[in-house]
Amino acid sequence: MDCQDMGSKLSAFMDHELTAEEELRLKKHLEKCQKCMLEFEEMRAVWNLMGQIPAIEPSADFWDTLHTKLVPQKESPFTRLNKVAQSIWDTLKDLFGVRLKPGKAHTFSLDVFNDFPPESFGRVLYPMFLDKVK
Amino acid sequence: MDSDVILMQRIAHGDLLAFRRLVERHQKGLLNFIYRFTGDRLWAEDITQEVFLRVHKSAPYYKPKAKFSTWLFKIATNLCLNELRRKNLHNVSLTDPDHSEITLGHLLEKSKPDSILETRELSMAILDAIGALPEKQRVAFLLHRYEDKTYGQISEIMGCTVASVESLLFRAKQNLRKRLNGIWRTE
Repeated sequence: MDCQDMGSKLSAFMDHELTAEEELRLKKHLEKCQKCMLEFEEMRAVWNLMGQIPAIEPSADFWDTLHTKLVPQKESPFTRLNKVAQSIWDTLKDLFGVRLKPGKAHTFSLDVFNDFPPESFGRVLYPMFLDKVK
Repeated sequence: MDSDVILMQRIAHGDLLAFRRLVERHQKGLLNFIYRFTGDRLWAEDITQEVFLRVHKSAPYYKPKAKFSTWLFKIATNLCLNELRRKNLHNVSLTDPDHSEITLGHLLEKSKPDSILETRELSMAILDAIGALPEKQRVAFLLHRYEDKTYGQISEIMGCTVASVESLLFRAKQNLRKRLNGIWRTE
């Protein structure tokens, strides 16, 4: 083994990733080659230096924040239901020209479908149809 | 059977407590891996949470083919790389934005040759050196140096050969040695 073969083998040696045979050959080379030995020592010094970054701790509210983000995933069936409701509403608008009464404050939004019992759906649509009928 | 795998099975059945236990077990290691990759604490925390959300979402489909932590770090690695590309920050200093102007050269100029750098400055210089590594070298190095992953495990996480990992790690160490040359010689 000569210096040209060293390269990544020095690194693998430091990481204990060489086979027993490779390790023996490399050790023999290091015993007689000062240049490679120096390179190895430098590599090891840098490796040790890298251990000086202190570890950080997760923030105190890590779990709470994560848990909050998890909730919308659980409600995904309702999100899908909202999309269905939206498409029904769009179809009604297109087919029958249903419009909200101008100037009248409408406080509902599609969010009301989050709890999606049929009567809630009806409560929303009923005043819309009234506008159309009138 | 790996206890992480049992937790994953419980999570798949909607057990929130199991998910919390899994998060508490891995959050610190994962956060530090991502922090060292990005150099930004807040961003690292966001990505860490995204990793756990994906774990939760994938629980019903999870098949324990590899060690759980290997799978976990694979998700984290992919997310880190995607986020980095998305934010297009690979040519920018990845350390604390307030100190992005501080380079190794500045640090060495400020310090006397025989002095030891302050811990914070030293940490920043190291993070900066890691941040300057090409993405794949950085991932391989962080997984090996701080997560004690073997070459085989890293190759599985990164989806490359063991020989590639060996080469990536060698080049990473060479680059770090060049970049941190002044610092370790003064210590």
